[in-house]
Amino acid sequence: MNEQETLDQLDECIVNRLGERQMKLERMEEMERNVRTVPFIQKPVVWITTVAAACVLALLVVTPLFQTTTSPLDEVGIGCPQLTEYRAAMPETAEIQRLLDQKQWDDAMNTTEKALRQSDEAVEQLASTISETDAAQQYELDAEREMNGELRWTYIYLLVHAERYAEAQKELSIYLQQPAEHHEKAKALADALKKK
Amino acid sequence: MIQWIKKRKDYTDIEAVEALQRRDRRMEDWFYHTQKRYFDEKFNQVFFDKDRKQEIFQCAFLKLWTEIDNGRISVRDEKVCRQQNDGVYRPMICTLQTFLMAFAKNEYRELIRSNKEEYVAELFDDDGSAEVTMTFDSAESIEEQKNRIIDACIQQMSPSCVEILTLFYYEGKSLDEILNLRGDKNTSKNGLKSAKSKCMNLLRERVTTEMERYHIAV
Repeated sequence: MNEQETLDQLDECIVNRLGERQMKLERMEEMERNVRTVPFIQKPVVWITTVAAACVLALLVVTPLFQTTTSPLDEVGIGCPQLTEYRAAMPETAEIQRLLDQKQWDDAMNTTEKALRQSDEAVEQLASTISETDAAQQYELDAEREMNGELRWTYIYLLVHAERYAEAQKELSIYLQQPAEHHEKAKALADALKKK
Repeated sequence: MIQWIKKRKDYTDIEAVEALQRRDRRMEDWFYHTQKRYFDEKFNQVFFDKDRKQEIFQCAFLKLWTEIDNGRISVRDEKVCRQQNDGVYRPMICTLQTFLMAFAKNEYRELIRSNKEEYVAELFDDDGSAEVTMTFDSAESIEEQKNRIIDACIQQMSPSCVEILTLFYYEGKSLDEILNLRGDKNTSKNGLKSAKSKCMNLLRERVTTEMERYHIAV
């Protein structure tokens, strides 16, 4: 290799190392710029916190939508019973109606149950003593049975409202033994309760 | 979770050296920023020239990075070692951070001592008596040895010389372009041309001398 070629080769090595040095300097400038220009929003901790918060919020909003809160009463379309027609027959029915109107469910439940048990006794007693030929007695028994049915229907409503489904089903089976005003709805309610 | 978010990934000096030698850009970023943070924290305790802060850091970091890149600092037997003047690699007794600060102190002293060279005569490094002293591991390639010698010789050149040579030979800029870029640092195109030639000749001479001293073919 002649002298010129040697010099050329040496120059090439020198230029390469100058280049390496310059690339390092440029890289340092780039890293220095990165320190100053990373926006707040691009910092990993911001991203992680934002995503976590969004997930929690989404869970809080979406979860209630998937929860089943439909009452069997709503499913079947059963409204709050009205006992106004029977107010004159029993003082308790007026009280029960008042409590239902004021949504005092617990008190309504207790009063209704008490009235229902009294009515059950009255029906049993009348049925055992009635004379088949006595139209007045027969009429009284029919009226008592009708009242009993309404009371039982109200009691069933309150039991389902309180989610006491087992007791409600028991009362429904009694209710459905006799022809009743709310027979169709009672049947639908019994089916709905079976699914619970 | 807050602790996990706050905690930055820390690398050991061994991991840093090995990754930098692999030209790992993520490590370059991490290493630069870690050293910068440390330097900024310690700067006020050690130096008092805030105007030169960035310059001092850049020179020191470049020096450290070059030594890692050309293998003078490398990992041997699972320890970070630096080749001493007798050619032997010895484990470093301080961290890379401490070493960086040592370079920075040297840079600071040089800056105070030299007081800027603006004339052609001052382009050259004092009287050229400073020698490049190093020896090489027999396992190193000729290429590695040459690179280390050239890096050391470049290190000894004045910043102005290095700048002119880099702009002309590496970036391929014309003398007119260099004159514009350097502004008042050169008075004329002829002066610049003369400086360029003198700088390159000096660098060639030094590199050749060192290579011959270590019996490395040019």
